[in-house]
Amino acid sequence: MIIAFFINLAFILNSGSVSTPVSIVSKVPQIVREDIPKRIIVKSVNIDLPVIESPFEGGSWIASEHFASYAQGTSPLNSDNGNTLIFAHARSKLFKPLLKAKVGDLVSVYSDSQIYYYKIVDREIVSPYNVEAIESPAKYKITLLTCVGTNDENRLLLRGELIGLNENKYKEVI
Amino acid sequence: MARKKQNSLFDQAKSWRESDTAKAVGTVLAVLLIPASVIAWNYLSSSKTDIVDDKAASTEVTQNDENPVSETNIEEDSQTISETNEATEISGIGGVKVLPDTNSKE
Repeated sequence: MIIAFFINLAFILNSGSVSTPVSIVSKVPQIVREDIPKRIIVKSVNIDLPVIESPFEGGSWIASEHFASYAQGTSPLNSDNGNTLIFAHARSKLFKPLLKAKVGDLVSVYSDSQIYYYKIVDREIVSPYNVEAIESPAKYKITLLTCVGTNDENRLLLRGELIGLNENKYKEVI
Repeated sequence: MARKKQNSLFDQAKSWRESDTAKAVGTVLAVLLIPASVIAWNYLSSSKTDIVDDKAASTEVTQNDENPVSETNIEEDSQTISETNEATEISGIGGVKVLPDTNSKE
């Protein structure tokens, strides 16, 4: 019986040491590699644009003349918290069609490896100085921004919530 | 009559329990069943963790499959995260003075 006790003890200790690395692996950080947006599709309003990174300079970001822009410093797509900001000029071939987008519309954002699907859950028009509007309430995962108003004096914000994702098998980035 | 039969069965069981065979069977059960239950418990606990991992992995990047995770990798990844967070705090939302100019001039 004593031998049996020691054998059991050995088993218990051994299995304990095996399970420890598993728990470490489960805590591998959420961000293994930053997933940066490379393409955005809002099918309901016929938007399909490449996304380039826009550096943060002088207290804001510069919008690309030809593409949508990802605001550097805002959260990457695979971030557990925070907000990914994508913006573009309110021009017909850029984000102007977003003015017609509605709550509930689907937004697909491609990175090199994944396709992220968001549902628009909120639509808001704010002053350009209302920078808190792009801070990240936990439930919002993406914000699309463009100008609105007679003299582009305001900003339209569409906030989206992640509803699913898929592997970008065919690397469908423009 | 039935009671007598029951008593004799009980006596038989009692005498068997005191035999060497019973002790041997008890020892074998102790040796085999307890570690088996411990292993089963660990297996079930670890498979629960795996499910969580899979969910996490599916919202992330599949790079882990290519590069087995080692402690070194974990440390490197942790560093990446802290660098990322730091970058976000320094250059991101914190320093924003105005939302980007996305005028409609063609």
